[in-house]
Amino acid sequence: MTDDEFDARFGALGSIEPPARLVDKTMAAWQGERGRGASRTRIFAGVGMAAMAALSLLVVSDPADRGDPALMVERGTGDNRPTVTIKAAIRSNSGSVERFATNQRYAAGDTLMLRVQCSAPATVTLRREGVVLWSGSVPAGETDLPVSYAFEAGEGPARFIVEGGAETQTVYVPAVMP
Amino acid sequence: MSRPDTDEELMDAVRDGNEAAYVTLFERHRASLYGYALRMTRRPELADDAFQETFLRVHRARATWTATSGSFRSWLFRICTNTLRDRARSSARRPEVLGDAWEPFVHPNHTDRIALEQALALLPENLRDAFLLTAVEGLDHNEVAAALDISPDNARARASRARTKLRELLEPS
Repeated sequence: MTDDEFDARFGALGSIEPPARLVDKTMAAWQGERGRGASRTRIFAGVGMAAMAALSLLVVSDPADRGDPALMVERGTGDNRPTVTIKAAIRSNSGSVERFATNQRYAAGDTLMLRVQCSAPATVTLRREGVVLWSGSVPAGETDLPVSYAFEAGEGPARFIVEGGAETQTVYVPAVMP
Repeated sequence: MSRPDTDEELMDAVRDGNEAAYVTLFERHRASLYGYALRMTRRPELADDAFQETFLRVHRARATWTATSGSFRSWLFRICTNTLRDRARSSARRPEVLGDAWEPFVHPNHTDRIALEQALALLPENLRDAFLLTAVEGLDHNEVAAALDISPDNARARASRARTKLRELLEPS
């Protein structure tokens, strides 16, 4: 297979349409910035050229430049979001399984296992300290996540978060990070 | 029938205050940019942030746009790449842990697509960006170089190394 033919296979993957809510939010954020820019121009028009140095400082430090949180990308809201609860268990090196306890120390090699309960079918994402460990579709009811997390020596406390949403994620690329 | 405006003509118009031109550019490139951001980050929430921030930066930087510095697409992807780098610097990166029972749910009826997406995801970032821009987005080496702020020779070399790596992943001997 030539390089061009090889590249063409990947070219056929094509673009990925962003979710509609992201498109709407982005356009709303743009329109919000436009509005603030026009307002600022009107205010500053009366300041005059003598104040240009102060004007630059003011623009840079203007809190409005940080963006309106209401216009940022919105997640985890909606009338139809499912309720998701989580249960955790530990499988020790010896093979025994016990309920997870937050005040317990676990040995390297012990494995954290998770079970989620969803009030409705959902797309569920499991994160550890913000990094995705697993994401997939889960039916209503209890489901054991098909992923486990083995503790390593010297590993400190970590926060695991399960997110659930009714919205289907169309693409997720699974891989171990390089 | 009038000729459709080029990206560069539209961006010139955006720089001159034409807001409809900005909307046209957004509609024209949103899927392309989102695909690039998603394949680079592999995390939808990060891709969302990069997508939104990139298009806002395009508008904020409209006064600095000049068509003589290259194509609009290379300028757009350069802004996106810089946004992704900014985000990567601000968040510590940790390895993902995937279980043995992992089952990808991307296009479950398209096994070839899954294999290609997985192979792409295994590339180092500095090869993945060059290859994505070349093979998926169709940029030439000069545009890739402008988008990634590297030389054209480097862009060509990165794409070539990515291709070699992908062949190893997809066509094991």
